[in-house]
Amino acid sequence: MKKFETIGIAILYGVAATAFIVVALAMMGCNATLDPSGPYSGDKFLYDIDGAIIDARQTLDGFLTWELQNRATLKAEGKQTVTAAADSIRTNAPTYFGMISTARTAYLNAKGPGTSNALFQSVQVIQTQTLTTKALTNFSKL
Amino acid sequence: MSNVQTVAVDANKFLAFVQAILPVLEASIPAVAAAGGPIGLGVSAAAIALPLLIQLIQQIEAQGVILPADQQTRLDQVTKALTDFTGQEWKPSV
Repeated sequence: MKKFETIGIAILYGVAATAFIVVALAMMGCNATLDPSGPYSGDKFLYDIDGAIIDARQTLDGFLTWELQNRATLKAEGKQTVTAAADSIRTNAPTYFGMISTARTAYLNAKGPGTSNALFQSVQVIQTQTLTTKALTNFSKL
Repeated sequence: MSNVQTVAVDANKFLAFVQAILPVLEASIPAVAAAGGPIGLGVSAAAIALPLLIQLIQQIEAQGVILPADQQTRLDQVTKALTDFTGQEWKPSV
């Protein structure tokens, strides 16, 4: 019986060691870096900011598509405010994205704390809009 | 007290399980027979997972450095996100 206990413990140690190595490697993967020969030239800040811009745009696209597909139902249920909110985004969001584009170009021309902060703040404006659309979508699905 | 009893039952079940699968393990892991010891069995059992581990390491290494092609994809996506509002969903309702 003692032999089997030792075997069991040994197996568990092996499995635990394997799991530990996998978790450690997975944590290493979270700190991804950019190949400096790529178009971002190793600028992880800009790469992450661009990711946030894409995410925000996809959220807005999703909301506007959903509103378009459900416009008649929203109207029938007296939820025209959702369509009005969508129209507001259709009108204003291109301007916001234009501001982000301007801030992004300024950052590319002169990388520093000032331009990076300006770019970051311009992205926060559009992220606030996406939060609003998520709230509207969830509210309308109630 | 009841907790202790539960643990004891579970341990016996586990040992019975190990006893049951040991012949299978010994038959399927040649290194066990050669090593002859229980530690060898544990190490050999862990070694079964090595191909999976190597595959995981390769995937994680690929994630560790973002390749130029992937960077270009993001750059193209952000350019489109900032400038292209021609989709039908962007047309005003009225």
